[in-house]
Amino acid sequence: MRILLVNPTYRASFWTLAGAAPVTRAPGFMPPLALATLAALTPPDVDVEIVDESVQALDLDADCDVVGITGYVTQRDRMFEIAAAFRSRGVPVAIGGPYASLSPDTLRPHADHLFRGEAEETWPRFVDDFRAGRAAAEYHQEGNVDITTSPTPRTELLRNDQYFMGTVQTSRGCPFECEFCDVIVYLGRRQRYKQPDQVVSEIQRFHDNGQRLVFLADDNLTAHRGRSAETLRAVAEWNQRQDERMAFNTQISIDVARDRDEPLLELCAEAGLTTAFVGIETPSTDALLEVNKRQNVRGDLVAQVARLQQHGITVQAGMIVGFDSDTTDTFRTQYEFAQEAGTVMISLGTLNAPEGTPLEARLLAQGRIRETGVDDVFTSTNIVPKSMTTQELQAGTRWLMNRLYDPEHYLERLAVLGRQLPTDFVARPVGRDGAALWDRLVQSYRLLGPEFEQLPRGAAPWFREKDLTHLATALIFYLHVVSMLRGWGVWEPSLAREPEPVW
Amino acid sequence: MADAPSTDPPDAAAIAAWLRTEIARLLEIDEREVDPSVHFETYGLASSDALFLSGDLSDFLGTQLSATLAWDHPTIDELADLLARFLRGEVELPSEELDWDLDSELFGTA
Repeated sequence: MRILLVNPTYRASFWTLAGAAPVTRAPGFMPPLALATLAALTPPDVDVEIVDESVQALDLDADCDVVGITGYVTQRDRMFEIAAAFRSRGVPVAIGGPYASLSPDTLRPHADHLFRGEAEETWPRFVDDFRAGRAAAEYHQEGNVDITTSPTPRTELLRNDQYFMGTVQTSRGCPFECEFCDVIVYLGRRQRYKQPDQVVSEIQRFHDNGQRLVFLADDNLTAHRGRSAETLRAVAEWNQRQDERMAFNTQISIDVARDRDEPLLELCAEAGLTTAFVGIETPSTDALLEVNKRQNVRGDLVAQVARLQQHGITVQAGMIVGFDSDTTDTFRTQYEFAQEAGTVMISLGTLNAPEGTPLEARLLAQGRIRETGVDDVFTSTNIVPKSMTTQELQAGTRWLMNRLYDPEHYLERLAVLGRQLPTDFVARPVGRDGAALWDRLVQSYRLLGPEFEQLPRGAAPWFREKDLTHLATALIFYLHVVSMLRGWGVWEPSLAREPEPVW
Repeated sequence: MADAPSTDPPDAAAIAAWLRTEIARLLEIDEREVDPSVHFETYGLASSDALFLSGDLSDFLGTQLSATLAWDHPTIDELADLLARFLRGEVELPSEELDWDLDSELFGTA
């Protein structure tokens, strides 16, 4: 039996670095861990191939007995295309993953076998059923699985040298109840952890492959303080034994920055954590309370960001505009917050109500959900705004994005970050490869134009005696964002010079 | 390949003197303690300092230099000699190739 597992193409977003690929020389952002896990769950006598379209071409005529397709909502159209192509040749199609779990009714017509929820238990059952000629149309995981039984992903099936970073998952789920979050809808609020030795073993595999940056693909790495500390301690001990240390990115919530959590932040730093995506969303307490993001309203957000960055964790901030209480003044306050906090890398978007979320239910009841495509991931929303018009929301968001990513304003935030980062860190030598990467960065900024050329050099004084991973990451991210905004047709540098949105 | 400037290029001694001064400043030591014949790492120059030094050196010489030079020619004497010969047009310097079309289609087929 031969199974083909496919991760379809996705459009550029803040979660890819495709725009900086000529500099990073990595067309892919991170490998599809779910597919490598499915491969490991497949009996050894079955031939499995993984194709990730972000790094390789998919042969729609590939010889296989069944094709398995995963995907997020942003991969929807390509999921449909691939499914149709294989079904037209009579190849059965299995579809699973986040989007199938959240929107089974949308995917069901495109699949011969639909998977809802986590697949650790259902996938092996499906393979057995398929071989016996009795595969079901639907496999639904009721409740959540015990991920300590999840096998080590078969990362050897991936083109590991094509990705910006490796990826390892230490936990699933998040205890918080943000109204707009779809992750907890299918992964649950009860956080489940892998054993520390499982985590270290998976990290070791990427290290053996030459990877020196790994994304810890947790929904919230530090939510459960005790379990998180256990994992981080094991990673720190492992990392301290390496000649070339691994750096890590992950996702955490801002509550970790409170005083009593100081030891956990120190553990994060010891483990090698250098960047964390944090859903800050907005400095507005009203807006945070409105969407039940209570973990963000206890304390001063600027000070909490500073505390993380003082521990050597650069905050990549998720920021949202378009909450019910947001007005046309919100865009300016968001900008002022970012500049003060020094959140250099900002993933900005308009509030959306994903399928299956409490936010969608609330707004459906209010008649404020409308149909929208998934193509314009930046300014489009399926929500009818409450305190401004849709046109004001779009114009304000566009202004905010251009203002935030104006090179001078980006440099201002880099200066805040550079001042906050610690000087007492475990050095990761730059090395000749790092120097070559720096050369490509400098060249790329020169190509962008004279207003950008001074960004790398201008930032350098703030980062002397600091871990250069932070500066390199921020500069790579910036290149990607500028490329992406140009691609989206929303890069309008003149807007950045306006102190207020132009309506 | 980087282009050599056409007038008044500093010689190896001038480049070595500049490097010595800058490295002493970065390390907060006396210039006389900087031995131009030993590897940069020997006197504790951080790799990040070497990286940024290449930018300052580019400004001093008026030409864009690759940061990798400090790794491929890791002593003051070696680096100064190479750069002086480059400035006299006797050798070429490698530069990192960047194949980047800003207007290319980045966004796949989805």
